[in-house]
Amino acid sequence: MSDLRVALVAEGPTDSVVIEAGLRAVLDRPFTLTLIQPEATRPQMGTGWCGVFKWCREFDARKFESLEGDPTLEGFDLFIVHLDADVAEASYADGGTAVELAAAHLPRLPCPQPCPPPSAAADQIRKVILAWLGLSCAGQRTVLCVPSKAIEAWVAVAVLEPSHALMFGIECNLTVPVRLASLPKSSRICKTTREYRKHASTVTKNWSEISEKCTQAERFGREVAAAVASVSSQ
Amino acid sequence: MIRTIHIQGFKSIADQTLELGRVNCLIGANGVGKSNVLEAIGILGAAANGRVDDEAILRRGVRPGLPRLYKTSFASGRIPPHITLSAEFGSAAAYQVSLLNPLDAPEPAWSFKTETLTDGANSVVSRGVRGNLSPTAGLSALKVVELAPASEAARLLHTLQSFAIYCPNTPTLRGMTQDMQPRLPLGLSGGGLAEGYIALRDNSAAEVLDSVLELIDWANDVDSTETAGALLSPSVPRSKQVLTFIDRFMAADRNTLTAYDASEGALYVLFAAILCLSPASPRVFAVDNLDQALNPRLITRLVTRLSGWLKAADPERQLLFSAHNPAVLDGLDLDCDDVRLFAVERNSDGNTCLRRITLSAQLSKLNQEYPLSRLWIMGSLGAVPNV
Repeated sequence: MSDLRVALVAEGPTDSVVIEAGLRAVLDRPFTLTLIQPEATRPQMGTGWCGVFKWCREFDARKFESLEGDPTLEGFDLFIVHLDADVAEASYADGGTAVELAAAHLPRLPCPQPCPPPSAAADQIRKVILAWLGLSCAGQRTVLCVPSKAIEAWVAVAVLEPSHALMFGIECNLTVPVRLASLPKSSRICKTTREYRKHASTVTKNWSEISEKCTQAERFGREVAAAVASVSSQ
Repeated sequence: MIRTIHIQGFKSIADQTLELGRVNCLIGANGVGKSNVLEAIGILGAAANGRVDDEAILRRGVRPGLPRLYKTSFASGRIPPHITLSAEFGSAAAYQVSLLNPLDAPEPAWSFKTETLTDGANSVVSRGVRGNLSPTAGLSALKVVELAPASEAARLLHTLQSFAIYCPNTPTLRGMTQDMQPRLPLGLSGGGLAEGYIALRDNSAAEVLDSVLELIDWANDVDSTETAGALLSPSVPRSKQVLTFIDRFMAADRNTLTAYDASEGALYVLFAAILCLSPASPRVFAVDNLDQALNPRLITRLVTRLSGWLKAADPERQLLFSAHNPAVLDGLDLDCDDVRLFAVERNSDGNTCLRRITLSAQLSKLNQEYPLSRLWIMGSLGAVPNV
């Protein structure tokens, strides 16, 4: 069996590190992961949710019925599109006039939802991603990864003690990224790729705890497994 | 031609097979193991020549290393006791070796654990535990003298024996520094460029030479001289022959430049052309970073020429090269089975993986908007770092 080829559209490189670490735990076979957004030679695309937005709009402009059907992505077995659920709090205007204009006929942002349950905002963001892609539903080999409120919640669960104050209601806490970066120096986790790489193996090792505490991580793992099963059956 | 190379347990390569064409381009992020693929073939070449030690591998452009660095070593798996390498040639010839060297007390030369050479159904060499023979001596290198030179097994052995990895550098191409691995037609660092060019010029058809020189658009002519005193400062070290270029923009009496002053791009173009076209070049050879010092449009054009040059010189000649410039890909005609593109990547276990990139008819149709160079940068082909 050849290695699974995974294409990842993510908000940023640190998110890519965490998602790759999660995949190591979820998948029972080796894989190669390629980050196709952000992409260093196209700085105009930017990072963050605006970068994901622009990438999705470019895909929509190619007018293919699914990521799986796009010839420019034909070498990949699995597609992951990541967007943190806290994007529900953002506004298109935050991305500048061009983004605002491009989103004129798309579901509106912000679209905040009560939390708990964390699934409310995550579900809303899933609809937003699909609309950005111009799709009514994701293909069989496409997984939408929407951590709540941000992927830093997964890092926090992996790294911090279960009794840590941040653990309570972690999927509804919008301040987790900031709180991780302002922990005491010895346990501080700054949002840099090198720092996240240091913790990647801990994320993999503690994935079952992450899935237990973060419903959207559990959902991600489950959907990846289903998508991979569809790859294997083809 | 060599059809297949199989590598097991060498450096970052746990178990990979490479199906070769005539022109074989390896792309991948820095540090994924592209050079390891080339070096594995170098080790196989040394084994085919009868001895695997630092001297033999250096001669082939392979970096010498201790067994603990040569043998695959991943956190997730055990270190295999030996390295196994094999090549298949033509319709039915094959050569395979397993090489041993203890991790804790490395010997100067690697021992042959097993060695097989077959020519169709005919087994030329086949042995496991070796009787009275020296364990560090390969038997196939001796047996080959008993084979008909035209047999596929003999051609396979000779092809592997002469394999080398070229890694040109500018000072050596300019003739300012000595090539530590001199060879005909060129040293592994590009030494002997002037002599190599003269031999090429004197032995090539006019249209072939034109196809080389038209890539150097600023020069009207290329030649060499032994008397470069009037062209070079006495403080510049030089080889016996010095390459000269006639600049087409300069005044007629002051338009001669030597390799020392000329654009380095011209030197790299001549280097590639000589290796592809010279009868003295190895039948299979590799160039690490073929694209260095070359303008994107020039490297694209150069790459389009490679297959034709190789075929013109020898129908069985093959080239493997690594590159980082996306423009290289736009010179590869992937619709032709002779021309192959391989993505080299490390998987989630850290193993180097090789994957041939082919294009569907649908993607070929999109070529104008999505040429291979763009697809590579976009990440669509993989073979990029996640940075």
